Amino acid sequence: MASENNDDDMGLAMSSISMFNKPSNTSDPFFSSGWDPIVSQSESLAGSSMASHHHLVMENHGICGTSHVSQYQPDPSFVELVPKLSSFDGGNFFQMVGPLGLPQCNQIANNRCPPNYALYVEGGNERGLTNALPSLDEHRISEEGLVGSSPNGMIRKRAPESDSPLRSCKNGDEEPRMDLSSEGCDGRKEQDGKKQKIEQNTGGNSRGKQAAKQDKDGSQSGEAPKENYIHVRARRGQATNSHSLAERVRREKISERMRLLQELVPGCNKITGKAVMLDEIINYVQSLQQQVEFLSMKLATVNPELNLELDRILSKDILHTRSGSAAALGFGPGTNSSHAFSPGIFPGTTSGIPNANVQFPPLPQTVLDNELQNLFQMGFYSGSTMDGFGPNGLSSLFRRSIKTGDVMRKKLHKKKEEEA
Amino acid sequence: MDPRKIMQPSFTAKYVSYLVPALTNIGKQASPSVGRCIDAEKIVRYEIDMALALSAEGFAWSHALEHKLRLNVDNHNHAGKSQSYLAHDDDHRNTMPVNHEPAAKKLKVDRTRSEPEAAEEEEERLTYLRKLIPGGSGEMMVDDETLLSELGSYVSCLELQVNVLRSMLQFN
Repeated sequence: MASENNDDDMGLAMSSISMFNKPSNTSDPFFSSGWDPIVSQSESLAGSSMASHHHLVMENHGICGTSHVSQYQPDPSFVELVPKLSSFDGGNFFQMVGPLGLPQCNQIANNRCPPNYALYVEGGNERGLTNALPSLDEHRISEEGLVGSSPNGMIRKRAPESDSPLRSCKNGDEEPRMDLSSEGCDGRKEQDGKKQKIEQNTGGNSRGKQAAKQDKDGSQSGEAPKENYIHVRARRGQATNSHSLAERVRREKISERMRLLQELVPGCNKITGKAVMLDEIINYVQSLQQQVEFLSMKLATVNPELNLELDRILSKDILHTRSGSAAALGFGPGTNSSHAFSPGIFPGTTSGIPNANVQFPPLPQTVLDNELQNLFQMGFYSGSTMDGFGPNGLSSLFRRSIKTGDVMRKKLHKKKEEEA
Repeated sequence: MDPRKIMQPSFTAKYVSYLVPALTNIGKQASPSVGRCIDAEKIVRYEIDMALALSAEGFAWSHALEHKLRLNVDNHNHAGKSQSYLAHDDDHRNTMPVNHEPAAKKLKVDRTRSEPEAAEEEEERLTYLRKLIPGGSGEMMVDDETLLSELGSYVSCLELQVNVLRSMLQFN
């Protein structure tokens, strides 16, 4: 799983990269793009300091849950990615949803991203999420998240927070960065550092004007850690040990995830406390699994009737003639699969087969968004108008949908085999 | 735009497009006999789980789930399809008192006492969560962060799955 992700070329989100892509020399297109000089500064700094960095793989490169950016190679041309990536929302797996609405694992492989700048999205979003938290002293984290995560309503404080990262970007040479790599930290920590760096850069890009403000705030924050890569601001009175800082980064990431989970699990808004929250999550997951089990059993009992009905209907000769005209309806391939499952077609009972004029049964909104519903309705009405009479029209519609469903299933399986 | 809403229609469409043909195939293959009823449940459960795994590609848990399902199929080919992928976890469910109140009380006590105990509790719960999510004990989810993000996607997909199944049954 990891290897295939590593080999992926930049995918969908890389349309942004294509604008800037220069495989070899990165500085020029970068600068010429009119970005803030701050960014270029940090980039050069990063380039020099990270020159020795090797290809780093993101912690979860095999898993879409964390970030688009899975890998990056020592190549400073990554930064262009950041502003585009920032358009993706939220943290974790949400980011995996690409234009197809499918989780896109590692399709945004940064072949040309220097180790510094990977994981912008993840870092950004997390940071952005942490912004909502009252962790005001953690400038480094909150600020970085701002740039990428702005579309997401979770980022509350963009402007005031973008201080230290920008400052660190600007004063790249002056600001000590945490050299996690030199500490022999695991790849994850390095990525964290890189994340922050990237964000700093993009932050610099869009927040150059706040530089002055940064300087002010930067001086007010705690001791500056004397390390190379991650510009992590230590809180006042806190240890600047790289390990503890990395640990803090990790803990904050975990809190980010917990917050996202809190939104997923209903009724957890008021819960403060990790253990209680985890309890709720456990309860919720178990209840969902039990529901699936129950529904599955129910479906198994219903299924034979369903199949008998289908057999009876599909065996009619008329169907064979009708199925041809069904093709004439011009159902798009994308719509057929959804047509099959309009509940009105399910012949649970004989009376379940409506006539042509029956109203399309409203599905719960949670199942279908408006788009899908329109598809269903379109298919249903087309089918009915074609035949003029319910049972035959619906059956042929259903039959064709089954075929398409089969085709889709085979495609899914094939795709799975290819990927495996 | 809420990313979940982006994912929802594609997941739902894939799920339904896989499951309905699979279910109709079950009916066609099996000869109508009482002895097959038990198998039908297992088969249906298998197809439901497989639909979940295939509709949510790209997550560690979906890979793990699909892998597990295929393994079980191979192992139990002649004995009928395997039980739900959660079956082996049924034993574990009782070992962990997942009752909200005791946990909350415990937590309060712990907070006044010391952090390590609270951390231990969290660890306990995380361990338990690993058993719930497919692939939770695997190497892909060793990180706590990864685990939590996988949990997020898993919970969302479970919800979608439940909704699809409910609506499929609604009109029968």
